[in-house]
Amino acid sequence: MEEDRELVKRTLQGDKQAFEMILNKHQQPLLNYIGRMVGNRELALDFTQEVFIKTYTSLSTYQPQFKFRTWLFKIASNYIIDFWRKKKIDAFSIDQAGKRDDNRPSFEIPSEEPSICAQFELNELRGKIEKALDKLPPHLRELFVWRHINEFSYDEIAEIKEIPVGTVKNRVFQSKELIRQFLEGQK
Amino acid sequence: MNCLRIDQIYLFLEGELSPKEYRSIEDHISSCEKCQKAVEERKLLVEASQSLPVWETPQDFTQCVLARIFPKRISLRDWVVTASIGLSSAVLAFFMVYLISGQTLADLFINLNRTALSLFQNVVVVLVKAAKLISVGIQLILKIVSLILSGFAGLTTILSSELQIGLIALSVIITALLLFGAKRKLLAGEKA
Repeated sequence: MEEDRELVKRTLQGDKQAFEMILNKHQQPLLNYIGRMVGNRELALDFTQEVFIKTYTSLSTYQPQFKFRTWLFKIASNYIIDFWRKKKIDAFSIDQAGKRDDNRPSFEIPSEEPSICAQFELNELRGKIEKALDKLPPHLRELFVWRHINEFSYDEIAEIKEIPVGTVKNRVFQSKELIRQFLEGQK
Repeated sequence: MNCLRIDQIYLFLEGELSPKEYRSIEDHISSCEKCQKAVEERKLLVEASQSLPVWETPQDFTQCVLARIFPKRISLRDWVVTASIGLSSAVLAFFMVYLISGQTLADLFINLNRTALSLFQNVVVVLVKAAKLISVGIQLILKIVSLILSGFAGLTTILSSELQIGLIALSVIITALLLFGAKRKLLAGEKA
């Protein structure tokens, strides 16, 4: 598939097909991220459309030294934060998540750790994880989705959120441990 | 090596360690049941997390976004073609009237003028009366007009330019035939 930067360049020169290719390439990953963040398919589809329109109108500000998809997901992340702020929902500051490390699980393995995941079939485990995702604080859910559903590298996530790679890793591990705790609570 | 930390397990499972660190952890878990169990547990979690169901976009998603970004506009060429077809239809309708009525061209022009004048006068009277009503419900009408315009804008994005041209030509022919019918009615009235 053609390089994103080249497609952006062609779009800016008025090539509509180039933007169509961008749309086809990124719509599903973006919907999977936005969908998990808002939890509603129709709303997620609307937001995905809006993010693409915003992306198109801002295309001239894109700096090619950055990966296009990190730029696109940064726009999406900001869009979701703005939506929550307008709705007066605690935006729990996905963008200020550094202050939110309370209830952080310990990274030490307990001496008597029960096997939780092994108790479920893979499909059942997936369903449980989906439900547990809704309970995760959004600043952790966002990183989990990027890492495991969108399959971003830690470096890409760090670039989107403009935080150190080590912090991203810790938060992704933290999100998985919290999911495991939710599963343990459900068992 | 001491027992593993959970972050080390995740780095190990996600292939984020150097070959040396990787071997060292492998050596440890082969001899430590507690860490082995913890690794197995996280391995299942990571595997399931990486294969969660995918949300599919609808088939028309791309076209919906493109239609919003690039709304379809009728080109100058299309407008010229539409006007030409409309004019041709009007001329055709005129000759149909000419052939059917059996009048001379001069009479036909005069009669058409009379009909048009008569219609115009009637319309003016009606408009003057309607103006009073319109002045009362002006806000309502503005809203209706706005709705019609937005509906028309929507229609132009849905219908192809060929179909739009066809519809305009059809409406011109129908109008001409209605005029012709009205004239016949008037003539019949005069004769009676």
